[in-house]
Amino acid sequence: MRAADTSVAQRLSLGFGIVFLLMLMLIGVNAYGQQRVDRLLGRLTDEIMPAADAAIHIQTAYLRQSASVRLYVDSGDDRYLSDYTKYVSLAQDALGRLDDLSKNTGETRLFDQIKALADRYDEEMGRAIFLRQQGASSAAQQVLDQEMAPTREQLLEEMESFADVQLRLRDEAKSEVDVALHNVAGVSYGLAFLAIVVGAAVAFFVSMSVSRPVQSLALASRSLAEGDFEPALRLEHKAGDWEEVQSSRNELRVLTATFGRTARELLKREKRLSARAQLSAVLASSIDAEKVACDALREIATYTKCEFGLIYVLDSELNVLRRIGAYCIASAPDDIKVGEGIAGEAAASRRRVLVQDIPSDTPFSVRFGFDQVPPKTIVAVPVICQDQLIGTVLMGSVRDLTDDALDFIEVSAQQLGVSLQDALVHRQVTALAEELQKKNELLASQNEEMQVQSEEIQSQSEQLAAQNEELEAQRKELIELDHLKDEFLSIASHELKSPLTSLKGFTQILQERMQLTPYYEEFQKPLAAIDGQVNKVVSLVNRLLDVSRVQMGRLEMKPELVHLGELARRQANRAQIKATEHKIVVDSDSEVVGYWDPGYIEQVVTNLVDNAVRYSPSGSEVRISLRQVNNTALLTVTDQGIGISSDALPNLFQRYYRSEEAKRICAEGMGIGLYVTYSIVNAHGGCIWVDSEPGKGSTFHVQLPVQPASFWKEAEESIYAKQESEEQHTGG
Amino acid sequence: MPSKNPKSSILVVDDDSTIVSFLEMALSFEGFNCLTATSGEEAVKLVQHFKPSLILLDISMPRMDGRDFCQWLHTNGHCGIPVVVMTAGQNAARTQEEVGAQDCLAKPFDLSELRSCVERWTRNT
Repeated sequence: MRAADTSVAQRLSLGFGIVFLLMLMLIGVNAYGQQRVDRLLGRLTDEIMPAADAAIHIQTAYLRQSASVRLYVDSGDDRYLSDYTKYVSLAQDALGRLDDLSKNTGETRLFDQIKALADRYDEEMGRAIFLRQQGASSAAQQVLDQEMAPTREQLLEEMESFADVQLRLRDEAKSEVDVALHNVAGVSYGLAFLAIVVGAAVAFFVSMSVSRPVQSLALASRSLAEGDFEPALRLEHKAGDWEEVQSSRNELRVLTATFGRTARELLKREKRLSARAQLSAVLASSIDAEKVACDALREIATYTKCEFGLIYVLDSELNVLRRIGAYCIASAPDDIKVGEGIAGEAAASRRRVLVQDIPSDTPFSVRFGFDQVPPKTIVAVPVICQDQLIGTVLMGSVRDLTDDALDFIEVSAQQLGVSLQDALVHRQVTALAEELQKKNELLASQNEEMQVQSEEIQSQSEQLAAQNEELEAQRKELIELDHLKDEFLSIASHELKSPLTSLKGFTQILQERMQLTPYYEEFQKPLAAIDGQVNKVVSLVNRLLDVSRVQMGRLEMKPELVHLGELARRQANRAQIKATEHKIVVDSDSEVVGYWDPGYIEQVVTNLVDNAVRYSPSGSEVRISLRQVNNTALLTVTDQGIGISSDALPNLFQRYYRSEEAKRICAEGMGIGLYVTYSIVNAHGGCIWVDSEPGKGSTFHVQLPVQPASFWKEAEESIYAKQESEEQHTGG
Repeated sequence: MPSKNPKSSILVVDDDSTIVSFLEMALSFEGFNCLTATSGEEAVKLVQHFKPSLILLDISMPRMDGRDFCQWLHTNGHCGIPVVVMTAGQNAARTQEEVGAQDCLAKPFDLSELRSCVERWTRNT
């Protein structure tokens, strides 16, 4: 049953309006009846009753008039005349009143008769009075008896008939009132009944039209609360077309339709939620990427009613999409380049690609096993997780896809992104773990080997420890020996040199003093021999000390500003004293100045010059030349001696080395001089080399850096540090 | 014979008496008055009493050695007397510098070296 398209308020006002109208009519009828009764009663009291009264007054007045006239006529007493006059005015009044009433009621005929009789009676009484006043009392009497009596009788008769008329009128009026009252009561009862009947009908209709939809709403709500959408959905169907409903004035219809529609939306959402929950469950059920993809496709296809679906995963190294899941499709390509095709485009653009209304003559088709149909819609959605492209979901249907379905596919793609990434990461982690496992096993086997080796090493190290202890004892012994050696050196330098000083001195004094004596010839040779041997011992001691110092690294440098030219000349002069048969020349074109240890540099010059003198023939020249090139000083000592063979050259600066030629020329010598020279030059940060050819002489080159004092300071500090550490070592 | 001032007296200090006697002989042949001491303490007394014009000083001596003696000379207002150190050590020149002496002789030295050194420091006195 569909109610008229009216609002509840309209319906209620219509029902109550009818009832109200009926009540209004009831009141009107009552009022009219009352008015009518009132009017009838008014006439009765205002017209009929006063008329009867007036008639009685008239009768009384005329009776009294006639009595007064009779008394006057009998007595002639004027007193009766005044009574008469009084009664005349009373009668006139009553007649006047009756005249008014009769005029109102229309009963004028009877009144006119009464009036005529009254007037005639008045005239007769007036004549009787006149006759009496004229003294004709008998005439007057006669008038009284003969004329007035019949008139009076007539008048009284008229009056009585008038009274009867009045009484009849009164009874009529009374019965009229009764009829009116009866009619009013009847109409009132009828209307009241009608009002009750109509009111009940309206109430029933209105309550039915309101309560039925409300009841069905309540029922639908209860069912909805219990999870049954069916009654609510039926409501929407019942409410009819939504467009029509929206413009309807029937609130209940609108409410019902809206409720039904809400229920339908709710059902849709519930289905979607349940599909999503299902998808989530499927995604969470496995960590295998292929299984996740296939299961997810099945869930998406079920919800969206797609006929087929594919999932591709991006291989970022090759920039290729690889198929990892398919639903109801077998012939799709395994790999798709990014940017190619619908799936590739979705991946490249990171946007949904929707192809709708594919014409039926397209080469694509969806196979159903027994037949095949071209798809109508294909949609590809990129799968993105944390702003990183994971792959593409491709879904196809032979129908149009609803917005809801498209939306679901997009939302599912997002969900799928997280799961697929997890699955892919898990796959990588698994691969890594396997690799790790293998490596671990390898390590374990290596460990076992190493364990065996380490046990070996352990036993070896125990042996080593024992050996170490032995070595430590030996080392201490060696340190002790080193101290002894230092002590020996001190003794050698002082205790040997002191006797040599006096020995040498006395020998030289003897040689000089002996020249003045006749024994000189005899003792000259032995004295010279003593002096020579002493010199040899001195030289031997000096060289031994030098080599000891060099070997111990105790070349203590005290660099100071040295004028190399002056130093060379001084040493040359000293050497010249001994080398009487050689010519020693110093060739220094300019000032060569640098920071060196003068003592050691003297030794370098002396050693080189001594060597040059020793290995060159008498009368030959030894040339010392000096030059400064940039930051280095270059000192060369050139001789015209035997030269050095190419075999000997590489070993020339080695300790205790002497070439065959050298041994042949000079049997003495220890092979120390050049080694010490080399060490001194090295300690100054310089270098030494030699150019030589056998038989053509040799040239020794010494290159020394012209270092600032700070360099030596640092060098010294490092030497001290070295010494300190040595001392700590030996002390410990 | 080199020209010399016969008034010049040279103090020779060395714990080795043989060296002292050699130096005494060598210097007396050269015409110098020679004072000798075999220890630092002895030398101190001689300097206080005789004011020598040159001192030939050995460095390594027992008790008061050459370094202590030089220190004494400086602290007691005898800076005017030139000192020639005689040492058997490796670097005579450095030792000379260290003790604040005027010249040095590395042991063992030649008679000629001794002569030229002494002459150098007595010529002006």
